[in-house]
Amino acid sequence: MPSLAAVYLDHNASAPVPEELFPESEKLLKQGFANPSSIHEAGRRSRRLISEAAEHAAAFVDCDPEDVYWTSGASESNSWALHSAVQSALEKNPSRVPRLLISAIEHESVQLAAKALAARSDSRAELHSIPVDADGVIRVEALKTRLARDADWDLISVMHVNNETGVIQPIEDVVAAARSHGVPTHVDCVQTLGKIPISLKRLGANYATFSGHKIGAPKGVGFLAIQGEGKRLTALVHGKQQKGLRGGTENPVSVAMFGLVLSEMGKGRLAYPKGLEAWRDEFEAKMRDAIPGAVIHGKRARRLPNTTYVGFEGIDGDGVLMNLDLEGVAASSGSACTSGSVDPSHVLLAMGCDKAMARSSVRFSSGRNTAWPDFEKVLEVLPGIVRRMRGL
Amino acid sequence: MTTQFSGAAGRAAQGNGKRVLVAMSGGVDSSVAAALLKVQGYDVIGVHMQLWDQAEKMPKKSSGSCCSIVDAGDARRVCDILEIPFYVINARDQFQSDVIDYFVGEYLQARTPNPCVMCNNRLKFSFLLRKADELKCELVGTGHYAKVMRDHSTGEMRLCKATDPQKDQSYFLFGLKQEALARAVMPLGDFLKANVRRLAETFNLPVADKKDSQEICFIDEGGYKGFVESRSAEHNRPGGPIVNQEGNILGHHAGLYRYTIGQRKGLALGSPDAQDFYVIGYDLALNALIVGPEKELFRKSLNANNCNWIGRLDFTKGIRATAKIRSRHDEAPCLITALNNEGVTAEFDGPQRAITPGQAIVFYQGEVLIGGGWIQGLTEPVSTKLKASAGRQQGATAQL
Repeated sequence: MPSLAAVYLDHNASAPVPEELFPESEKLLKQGFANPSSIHEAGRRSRRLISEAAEHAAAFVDCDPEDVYWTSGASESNSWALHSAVQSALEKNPSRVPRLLISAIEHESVQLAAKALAARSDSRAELHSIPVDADGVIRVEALKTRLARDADWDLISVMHVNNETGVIQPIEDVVAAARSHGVPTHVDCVQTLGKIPISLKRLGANYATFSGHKIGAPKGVGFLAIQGEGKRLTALVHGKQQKGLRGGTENPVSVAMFGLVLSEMGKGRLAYPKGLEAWRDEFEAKMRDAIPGAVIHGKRARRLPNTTYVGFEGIDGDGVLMNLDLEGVAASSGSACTSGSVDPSHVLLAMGCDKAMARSSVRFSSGRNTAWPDFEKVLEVLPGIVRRMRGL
Repeated sequence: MTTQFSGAAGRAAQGNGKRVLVAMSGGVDSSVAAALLKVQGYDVIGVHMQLWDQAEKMPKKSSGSCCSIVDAGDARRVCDILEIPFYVINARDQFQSDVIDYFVGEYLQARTPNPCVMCNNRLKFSFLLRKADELKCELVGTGHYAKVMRDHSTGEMRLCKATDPQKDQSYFLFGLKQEALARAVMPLGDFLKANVRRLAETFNLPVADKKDSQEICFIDEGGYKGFVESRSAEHNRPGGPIVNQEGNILGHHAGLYRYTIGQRKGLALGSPDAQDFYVIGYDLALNALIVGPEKELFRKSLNANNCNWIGRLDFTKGIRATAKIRSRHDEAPCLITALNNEGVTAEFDGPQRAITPGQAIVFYQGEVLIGGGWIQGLTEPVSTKLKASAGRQQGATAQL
């Protein structure tokens, strides 16, 4: 059994901490132990680490540092944004039912948070979905038509880049359309961070979600950035920290690590390999040559250069993943969060794939340490796996 | 870090590096089975079948009579300790259609199902064999207490009782075909349960002191009735009359699924003469439950079908064997006569108590399991003289 995957192509699920940051991490572990709310020097040092990280984060996504709220990660940020929008609507008018417009391809943490708000007896929020086309792109025209007819929404939530397909969403158009009708927006930027430049000020979204571990910070740290009218946040986790809006002692070490990664990236370090897009295209072309009936999802859309999401007619994607694992290749089926139990991807179903195709799909996502031989290894073993499984 | 498992493959040649998929529930037995196979030099892959929706509350956490539904967490921990790959495989649809639907369906037809047998036939040695193919595993290993071996004179596979008579699970495996047996490994067949627990401790498996239970793994303390009720339409389990063989109506039943042959409790019969009556049969056409004195439970002859024979057998003169009519029945001698391709009659030397349709009858010659089938009913069924019109009327009343 290989102790560690020789080939790691699952960066959209999580990325390793860059080794060049190990010495700095050790320093942070020593420096950032104290409670940042304490009045002594050690506490102030922890506080300073968090403030500096907020500056790095704000500089990287172009927002104000005081509008950065640290969370445990993207799921909390997503839940918090939806919760806040609904609470804010209820405060304005307790007798009106809050209304949420959520894209059909949002991450489960958004979908489930919205469902929970719909099920809650005090909010009973109404949920509506924004459709996507066959390539997994939000149908902006459908959204605009809907808004022209009915603009009474408390939040529109659309992700910047889909984590499964890597398809880039026309987020500027979505936010502009929402703003022209005075509807607040939430953008889940988890897969964008470090891959596509983002300016929250220019974009104008009210809430934006970010996660650390997708770009090399440790797991368990993320932030929610807010801006615009009202800047409404309602606490989900209670306590006096972070202006009383997000309780819990901040995690100076992880937050500082996240800040450090962003600061390094801002300086052009920790860059992704230049060849990523060319490799992906060659990888996909060779895979389609070697494996009849391999379908690349979102092929015609603008995509991140690091993501290939492919379906293999007639077989079970989980079986492919297990076989790849036994060959030392780490990949995943769309969303890794529910590993084990495999429901067909809601993203692929929303794109019009049938259940069998959705179940047969596997995602390869490259990252900073990826090199062409990683793809070669996949090309060496994958056709045989698919052929054998299809032959059973 | 070197552990007792990291160097194991080099020490033993028995497994010879053959890849085996081990079905891991997370219980003691399958965990020790995986550990033994690893030590014997097999290339072991642990697989946990997910049988229920995670969101749905697990009906029960226990190690069951034949296997167990435990959450994947324990199986995962064991595989970490054994340093073997571990995967969770979604088997919800298969479990639903092949085990749960069958289980509920049988009760609704007044039969008493055996879901463990069905789970072995359809899940562990069918569905999981296909998964083994997918993962290039020659073999499927389980923690069953039974022995699988090849008869070198005929080349055929044999299935035999386990060394531990208290734990023998061969009964539940009668449905395995030659192809499945040829790929099955059951390393616990030679062990006593107590030794398996000791082995679990020796291997430092965190499951060593998990307790055994003798119930169906997915049925909780609420019992099977609530389970059947929550999974079937009310009109499919109508109430009706309780009658004796003479056709006298002695009471009402609230659905035939609530009763099993040989049951005495819960009949609530008014007549003082009927106080020690037992369920002795059903009349499905009348939707009637037939009761009678205990002696009526003792019968000698039954019909079974959907049989599976392990190896070639010659039925021309009938076959002498011993048989179990339920998992915890003491084997009794009988003569098997073939009725047609798959059906047989089993004529016991002496009467057996509570022969129950829906249960499996499993035949042995000594230690060797030669085959089995599903009990259809008595060769001479219990009947009632109740008139059809009276039965329906009574049924209607009982439903009110």
